[in-house]
Amino acid sequence: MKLKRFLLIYFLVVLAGVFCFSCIDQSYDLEKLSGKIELFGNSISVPIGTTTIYLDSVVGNLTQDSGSLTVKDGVYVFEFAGSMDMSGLTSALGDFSLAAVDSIMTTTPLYDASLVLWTPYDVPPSVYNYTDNSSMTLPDFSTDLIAVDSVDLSNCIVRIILRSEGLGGPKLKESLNVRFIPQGAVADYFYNGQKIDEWSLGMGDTIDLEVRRLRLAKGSNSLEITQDVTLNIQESGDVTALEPIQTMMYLEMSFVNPLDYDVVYGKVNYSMSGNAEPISFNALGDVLNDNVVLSFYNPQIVLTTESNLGVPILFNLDLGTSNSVTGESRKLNDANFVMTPAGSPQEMHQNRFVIDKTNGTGELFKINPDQITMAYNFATDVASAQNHFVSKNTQTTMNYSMQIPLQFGSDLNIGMGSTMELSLDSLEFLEDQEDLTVGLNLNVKNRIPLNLKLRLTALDADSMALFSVSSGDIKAATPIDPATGFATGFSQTSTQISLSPAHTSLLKRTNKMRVEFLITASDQNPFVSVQPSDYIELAVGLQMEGGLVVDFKSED
Amino acid sequence: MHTRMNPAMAPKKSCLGFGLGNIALSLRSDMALSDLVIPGRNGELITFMHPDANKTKFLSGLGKVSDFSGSVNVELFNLGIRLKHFYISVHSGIYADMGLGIPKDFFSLFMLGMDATQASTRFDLTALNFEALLYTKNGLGFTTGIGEIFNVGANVNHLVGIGNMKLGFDELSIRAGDQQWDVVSKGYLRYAGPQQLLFTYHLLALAR
Repeated sequence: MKLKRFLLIYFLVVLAGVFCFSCIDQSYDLEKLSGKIELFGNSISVPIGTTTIYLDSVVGNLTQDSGSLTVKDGVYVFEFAGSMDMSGLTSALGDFSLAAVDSIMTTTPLYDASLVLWTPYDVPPSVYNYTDNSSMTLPDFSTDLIAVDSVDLSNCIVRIILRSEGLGGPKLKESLNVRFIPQGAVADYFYNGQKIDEWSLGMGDTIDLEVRRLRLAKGSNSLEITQDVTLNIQESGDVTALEPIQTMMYLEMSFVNPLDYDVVYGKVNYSMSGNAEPISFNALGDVLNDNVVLSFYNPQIVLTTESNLGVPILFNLDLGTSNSVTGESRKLNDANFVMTPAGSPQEMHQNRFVIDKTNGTGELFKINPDQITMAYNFATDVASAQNHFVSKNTQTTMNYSMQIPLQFGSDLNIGMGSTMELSLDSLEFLEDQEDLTVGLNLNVKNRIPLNLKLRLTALDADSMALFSVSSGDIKAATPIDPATGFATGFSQTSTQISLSPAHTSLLKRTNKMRVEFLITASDQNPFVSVQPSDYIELAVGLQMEGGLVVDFKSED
Repeated sequence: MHTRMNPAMAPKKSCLGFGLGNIALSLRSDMALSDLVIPGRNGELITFMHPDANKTKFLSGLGKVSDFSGSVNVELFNLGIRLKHFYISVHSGIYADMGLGIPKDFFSLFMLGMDATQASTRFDLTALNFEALLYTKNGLGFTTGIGEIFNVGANVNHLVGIGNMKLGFDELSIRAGDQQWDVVSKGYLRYAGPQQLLFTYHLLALAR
């Protein structure tokens, strides 16, 4: 009975199981569950961070191969300095020398003893006067280089020796006196340091006179000296004729040393050209793009000469710049100057020439040059009314200093940036987005007196541009001090860079990203100056619009 | 296991279990499955976050807070001994109960993001909370038959708490803007266990 009852219950349970149904709604088949989800369907903006970039951290690290970067009066200044080779001039002047002067001998007849019957013959006591002239011809010292007017001589000693022929006697020396009187003003004679206009010698005497200056103007080319000879015989026997001949006085005149000079006066006719070592100018070259207008407001080239040369010089500076990438070049025109001469041979005279924006220096840099060349031509000003002089040890130096303040003109238009290698594998999901627009929100506080624009350019493996997106204009700092060009306040700009689905679909081919700041000058002032304390504060946020779709079942 | 649900349901034979021999998992929510998955076009089943899903409708159907809870029970040891009409069991296991409350704005934040027509969008996440309870259960069960049909049984359990954690906020709000997110957060994290720990904070965060 128990077994029957159990079997009955068991049968009923099994039978109930047979007639149990379950319904499955195929539309809820989890096998068909999509893995796609969409996040932030409207939009989302996420602040990424805020950064402040001080100009000093960018500009201060720029290095120059041949120059330096300094801060003067609060303004960055690229400075290049060097010197011009003036050795050609000093060498040419140093080669000038004075030609040698031939010595002379003048013969003056004295007492005629040719008719005396015996010798020695006592010349009768009396006063005998004779006059004669000596003329020492000077060579033409002028050369093609210098038309010599006069010369200040150096250690120039002229020696005069008197001797007689046919005369003797115990008192011949005291009895015969020769008075020398230079004629004209060709030479200045000095004896024992004193300038003398005449001098006397006894027979047999020798005198060394210093000639300090020769004046050769107006055709004078000889030293003319008159000799007044007085033979004063007090007593018979003081002077005797030794031979029955016409007695003679011989005057020998010669320069002891080769002629040398301290200063030569006269027109100098010399010209030469030369050049300075080219300056490699990479001030901003590494970070600048091509086809820019690098408008420096007032680059200055300061030329400083120092010389004891008493010659005015007409100087022409040939300053040029070139861009080896674009092939463009610029030249500075009308850079002509007159180097004024030293006032005296002892003066090291300085000339200073400033070549600035009035000479068009700003145009030189608008091509973003990578090389600066400097050549020069100069010629002595032979038409000058001033007399010229050349010192024996002429010293002439010419130094240049090129100063390029980071002051920009109103036509500045440059792009600064760099290219970054990128790995965008993690952003592949963006390629499948149909409606998503990704962007960067930029809230910029700009204390730099330059308008900025941020541009991103995606490049493929061959560095070909795939697409380019830019922000709006980031306004220059304001206000700007009109006198200095410095920004004294800041501007605030909110702008955005957006990548549309058309852009994001190209990210897969993007290997590099070029990040550039396109920079133009503020139009508030004819020029602006950047200073180390200038900065730009960037608050960057990520913005997505249109919904980010992620497929968890995607095999990618 | 069923003796833990109903001590009167005792097996006919003795048994012995070690390790992870008995695991129970449960999930509960006040959201229906039909709220979470929706039949889409072409027979595809889509979630409420799918691009084709009507997110506004989903959000409008949510309460202020959506609750999710679950538990994991792991029995590490059990022993049952059949002695004619008696069945005696001994068991020991670890139990975890968890609860999560997600405010409506939490879904709004991730599903819709910000209101592009407004300068900023405020999300109130104050109701976000999480609680977890971890304990061990050691028990003794006794079952005997009454007559031939009925069984009667009883379990006596000894519960030992391992830890209890509760995370909540007095205020948690986000004002999201293009350039700045303002986060106001005042919350607490309480933990009770072998070492008592209470951590509270009050934070006004400005994310820029």
